[in-house]
Amino acid sequence: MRVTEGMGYQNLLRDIARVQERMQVAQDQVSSNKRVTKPSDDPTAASDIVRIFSEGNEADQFGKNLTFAESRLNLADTVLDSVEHMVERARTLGQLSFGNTTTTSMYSTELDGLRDQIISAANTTHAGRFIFGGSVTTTAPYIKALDSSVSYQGNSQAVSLQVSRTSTLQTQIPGSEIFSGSTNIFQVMSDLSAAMQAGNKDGIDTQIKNLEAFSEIVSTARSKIGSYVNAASNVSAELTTGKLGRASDLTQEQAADMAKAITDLNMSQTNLQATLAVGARISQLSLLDFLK
Amino acid sequence: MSTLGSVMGSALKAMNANQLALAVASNNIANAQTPGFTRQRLVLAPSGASGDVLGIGTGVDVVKVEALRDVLIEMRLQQETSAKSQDDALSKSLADIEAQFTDSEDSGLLLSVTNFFNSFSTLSLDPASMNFREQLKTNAQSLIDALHTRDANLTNTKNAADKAIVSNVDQVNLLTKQIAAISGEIKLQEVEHTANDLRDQRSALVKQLSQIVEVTELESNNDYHLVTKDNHLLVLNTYQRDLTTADVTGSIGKGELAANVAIRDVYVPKYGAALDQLTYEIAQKVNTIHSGAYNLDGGSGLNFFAPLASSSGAARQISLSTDVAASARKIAASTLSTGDDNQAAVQMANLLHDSVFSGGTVTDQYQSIVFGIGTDVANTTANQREHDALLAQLQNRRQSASGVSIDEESVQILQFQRAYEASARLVKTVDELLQVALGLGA
Repeated sequence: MRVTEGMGYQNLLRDIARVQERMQVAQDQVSSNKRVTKPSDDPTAASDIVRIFSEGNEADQFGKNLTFAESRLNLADTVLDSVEHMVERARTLGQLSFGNTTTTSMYSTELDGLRDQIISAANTTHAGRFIFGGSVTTTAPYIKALDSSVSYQGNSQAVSLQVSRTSTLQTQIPGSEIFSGSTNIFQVMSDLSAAMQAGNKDGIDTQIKNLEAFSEIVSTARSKIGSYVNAASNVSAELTTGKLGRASDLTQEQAADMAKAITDLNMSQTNLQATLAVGARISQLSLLDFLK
Repeated sequence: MSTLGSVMGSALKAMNANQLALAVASNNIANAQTPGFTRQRLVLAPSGASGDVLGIGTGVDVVKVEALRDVLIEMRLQQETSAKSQDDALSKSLADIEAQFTDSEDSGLLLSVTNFFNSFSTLSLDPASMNFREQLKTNAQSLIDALHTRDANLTNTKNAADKAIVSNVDQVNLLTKQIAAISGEIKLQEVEHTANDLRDQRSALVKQLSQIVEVTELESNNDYHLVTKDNHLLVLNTYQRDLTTADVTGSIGKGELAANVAIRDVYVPKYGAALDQLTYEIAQKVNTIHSGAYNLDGGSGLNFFAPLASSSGAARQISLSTDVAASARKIAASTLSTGDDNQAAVQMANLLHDSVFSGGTVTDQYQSIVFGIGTDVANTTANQREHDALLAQLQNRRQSASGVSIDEESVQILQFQRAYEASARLVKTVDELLQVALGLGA
């Protein structure tokens, strides 16, 4: 083939451009540690990466929902635990008033106080919202009227949240299933107080039985809450597993192979040096130098 | 019988020819780096025998100055130039489109989409919260803005392509006018001799033209035709016909023009439609649930987004419904007529992973856009590399056939210099012989 000077320069320019492009790619990979920064770098990987981002964002939201649900459930559990103690105390007061009529009025005063405490427990708020009113969260579920009767303002809605793509988690048990369900604790306590004041032993006995029935309801509710918290921690574990899985998927799809990128960078540097060195020699030799 | 006079004559012709050859070599050297220059060569031929018995030749004749042009390579070079500049233009505009769909962990359209749906999930934690409602509105507005921006950028890309087509057509007409003018001059000159330099000039112009649009040159019976691939006549000898934007369709040959047409008529509409479809489906699905749900005031039947008639133009038109825009209380999160539960919010949040979109989930649908543009750009880049390599090879072949080699010209100079010296020597010898002959009579 006939070779001319023009070819040499043309090829030199093109070679330099090509090596520099390779160097640029390697440099980008090394500095960003990413192999895929735009869809055209690897369309399949890029679309997988997008999915990983989306799943990650969604899982983060589920994580927030879970944290919220767990703290609300834990609060409900704490509240019900104290309610259990109060009911226990009420039962003790009932039993005490059997044998001792002189202290009855003291007992019934304490009992009324306990009743008020249970009302305020049933009106507990979490993040500013009432947790025992079903889906009614902005008004107190239990209101004590002037005649000290208590009425339920909420509804029977069980509130639940989405905590993973496939599972929902109940975060609230309506008060109508606990305080004012089959046994209305407020009624029971005022009846007990009345029976104590009247010295009605049969009445006291009936109400003590009712208190026991209510304890049963509370402990059932607590075990329900316990199972929800359990479910929450299971989902939470799943989320963590999912997060780790996504992190490793993302590395697989997106991260640059550092060893390769750095080797590429070094190679293209050497290559550029060689190209430039050869380029400098192109014009050194000419027949003209030898003609005298 | 050969006379001294005829020897003198042939020596003179030889001196003349060698001098011309030196002139050609010097012209070659002068133009060694001129783009589009084709090296030239003096074509010499023996003058033929004199009328005598021995048939001794009468010296050398200069036939013509020939340009060493390889028509086939020139043609392939024009074609590859067209293909290469098409890929260049295409990849530039496609990169603009690609940028619209390039997501990272903390930016991109998909992030806006997921944030939007996640806000419904947040609202489901506390449907009565005005903070969460306002946050949802903000995220919905961000999504709307993200869609508007992408739509506007696609439109800009399209408008830019449209403007480029107009300016390309102007360039084509300017070039074809010049080509027609040069073709006229070539015809005039070639009555006498080959118009090598003018042909080089025309060839360079055609190459420039090839960057914009692929053309075919035809030269037969002294007529010069220049036509586009879809047979629009551009030049016939000195006649030039203007290309109009109406002539520019998808079937025009390769080149920058074709790339701009493809951007305007194929790529922007394709990704614009995909974006519109995604927008339309999001708005539609959210509205369906939202209008069946109850807001904080216990009302129902209101849309979240202003309803869209069809997917066409959806990404440009999407906005919040006037009700929701006016008050965040009108966001319907509840399936109960009391308006206080969270199940509608949960349902709308679930749209993020429910397979209810035409491409599967909303993410699936977005993924296919990302994959599509990624593949288009990657293919164009691959083509660009391939045409680049082919073009390089052809340029080398052209250089090999038509480029000037200084070494070669140097040798030629030496060669013709010696030949000139020899001829001059011959003149001197004949002169001496003539002196002798003249002396005979004295």
